[in-house]
Amino acid sequence: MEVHLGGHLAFYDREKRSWFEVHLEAETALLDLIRELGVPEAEIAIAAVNRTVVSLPEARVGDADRLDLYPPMSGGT
Amino acid sequence: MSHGTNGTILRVDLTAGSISSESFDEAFYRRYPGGKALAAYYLLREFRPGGDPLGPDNLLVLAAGLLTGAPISTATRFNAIARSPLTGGFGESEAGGYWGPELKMAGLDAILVTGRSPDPVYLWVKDGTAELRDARHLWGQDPPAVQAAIREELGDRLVRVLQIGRAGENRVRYAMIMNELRHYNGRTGMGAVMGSKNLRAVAVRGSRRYVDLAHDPATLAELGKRLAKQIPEHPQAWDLRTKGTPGLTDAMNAGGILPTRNFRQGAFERVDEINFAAYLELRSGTRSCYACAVRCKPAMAFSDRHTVADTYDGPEYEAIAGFGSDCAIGDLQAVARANELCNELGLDVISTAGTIAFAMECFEHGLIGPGDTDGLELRFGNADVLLELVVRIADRSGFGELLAQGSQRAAETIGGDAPSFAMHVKGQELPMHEPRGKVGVGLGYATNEAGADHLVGFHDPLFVNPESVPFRSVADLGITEPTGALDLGEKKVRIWYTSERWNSAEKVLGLCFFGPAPRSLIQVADVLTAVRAATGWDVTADELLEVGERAVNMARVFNVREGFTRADDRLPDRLFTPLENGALAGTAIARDDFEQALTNLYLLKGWDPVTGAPTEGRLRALGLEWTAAGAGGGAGGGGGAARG
Repeated sequence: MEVHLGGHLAFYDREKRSWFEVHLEAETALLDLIRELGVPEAEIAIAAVNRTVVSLPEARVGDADRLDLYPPMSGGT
Repeated sequence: MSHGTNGTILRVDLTAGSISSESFDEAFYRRYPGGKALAAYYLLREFRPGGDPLGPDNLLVLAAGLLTGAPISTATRFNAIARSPLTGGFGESEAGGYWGPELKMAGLDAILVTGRSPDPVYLWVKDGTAELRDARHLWGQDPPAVQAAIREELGDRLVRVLQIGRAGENRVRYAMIMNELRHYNGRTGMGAVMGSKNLRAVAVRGSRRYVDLAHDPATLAELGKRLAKQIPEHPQAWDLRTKGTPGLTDAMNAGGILPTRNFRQGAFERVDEINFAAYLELRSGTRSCYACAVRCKPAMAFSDRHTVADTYDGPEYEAIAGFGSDCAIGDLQAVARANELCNELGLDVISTAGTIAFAMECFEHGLIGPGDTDGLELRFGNADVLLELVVRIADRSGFGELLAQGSQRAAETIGGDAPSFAMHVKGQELPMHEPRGKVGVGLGYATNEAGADHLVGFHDPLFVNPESVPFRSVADLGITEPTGALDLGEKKVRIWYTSERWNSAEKVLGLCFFGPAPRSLIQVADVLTAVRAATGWDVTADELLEVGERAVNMARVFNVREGFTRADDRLPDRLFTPLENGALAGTAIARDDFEQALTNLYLLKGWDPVTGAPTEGRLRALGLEWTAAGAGGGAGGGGGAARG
């Protein structure tokens, strides 16, 4: 599946990737995948599966999905 | 001797062509330690209420913060403050870069400019001495040519140049001030004030070092080194350096809070054409401000459908959303070119984009037609017209003359439903942060004395999860209870009250919002260490919050004097109607909840909930009883400032 780590969440990827693919053998709980990816749950504000915002504790994902994760959004210049 | 300050301001009377300096003592300085506080003090004391913002009586103050120029990351900011020609109220805008630190190194804390020069001039400041120089040959020139000419004339390529562009010369109400071409005091029309004074530029050069002003140079230097080492390893600093503010676009869209089609919608169907991936294809690098390890400033250069040179700051998120989604333009090259034009011409990106989005909606609704717009088909998504309009606004030519007044005034002229399309507070256009998804930001838009501004306080999403890094970083400010992004209850109001005072303190200290908590690259304890090392004061977080609150209250008193009331602390009606699309489709701010939150906030601030004015008791508690006397501030005035 296609994974996009928005903002500083990519910092937690070992290679600091914002976009990458993972292979899922079977549908899995989103929280389990996030733990496997090493992204701190507390830093995630928005999870979107196939561009639709989902509930982090409840969502499940499969290999054909696209996952976008974003941290809390603040402002800038 | 005071530490952390030069204890000196420069007064420039452009009508008389005279320059003098003035000193202040430590008691005064501890109450008004720099930046917004120092500038607001002089504006309140010396500006005659009701004076023309574009007249010679307006007082333009350029003030460095207490820590500006200190060798610690993000200590780069300075303020430009005057009565705003856009809002008629307290005008303020901050910028980073190199000019503020250089001012401090040149032996000054602030420059006060009044009057109007009969001919264009620029001010040259070097190590405490200053002179006015002829700028007739610079008037009308592009900023790079002006910067190069000034450096050539002064024989020093390291002179730091602050200047206006054509929009400032033409007194466009939302003209900005730039320094070193890449850093901008964008908001509230401070460039128009400078232009109205026939002051094209202020060139500064200094040879002092901040650490030599400090009470404890060793501790300050050690803190600077530690932060320089830590910051690159901080996740949010990594984000700012690697992605910068353009990294926000995707998240805003996913969250349904990317302002689209003049804030009608929260998601943009062509976001992939302006998002971070599109931006990466055009970005050429990043740059830094003075002594800052964050290095977040985007650089951009390309030549394709449009051409952009690496001369100014590349588009930040505000420009990408403002010219992109809010004008429904799915073309990052056109957006980047619009951003470059604003910088070249000296226009505030946020107000320019907001005013054009407003005009597009008027056109779509038939309130204006080609006969009004010089034949331009001013529809959402028309990038060619966007680029043409930016130039016409700066030159105040054709239809640009109307838009150069800002969306509020243009709406009043157009009439009909036009005022309902003008997304402004107090006349200043909304930044690209959607209050229907960040209601605390809406409180800030409504109450801020300078009009809608997204840097007044912390953004709501940072306080949802108590385990998050931002939330944990503000415990030292007394924020311990999380709350939802859409909550407008008492918890949110308390968070907002604290965050506004803290952000205001940052404007006094000269720290960039990208550094201290809740961004948390710099912890609250680090800020205290910096101030203590700089000044020798045993300062606490509470004292800094009070310093911030004092500055806010001076701005509020200024507005009260100009006739502002609670009725001006209002959001555009559109924000009380549902978003049309995106993840928050159907979401609106509940008006009653918002009004109650305003009342609760006023009560926390010690302001009259009916008038929105500070009570005498609160002013007295803040040592601002002198402001209650009204115009000119009465006698005594905080004491300690003296003619030198």
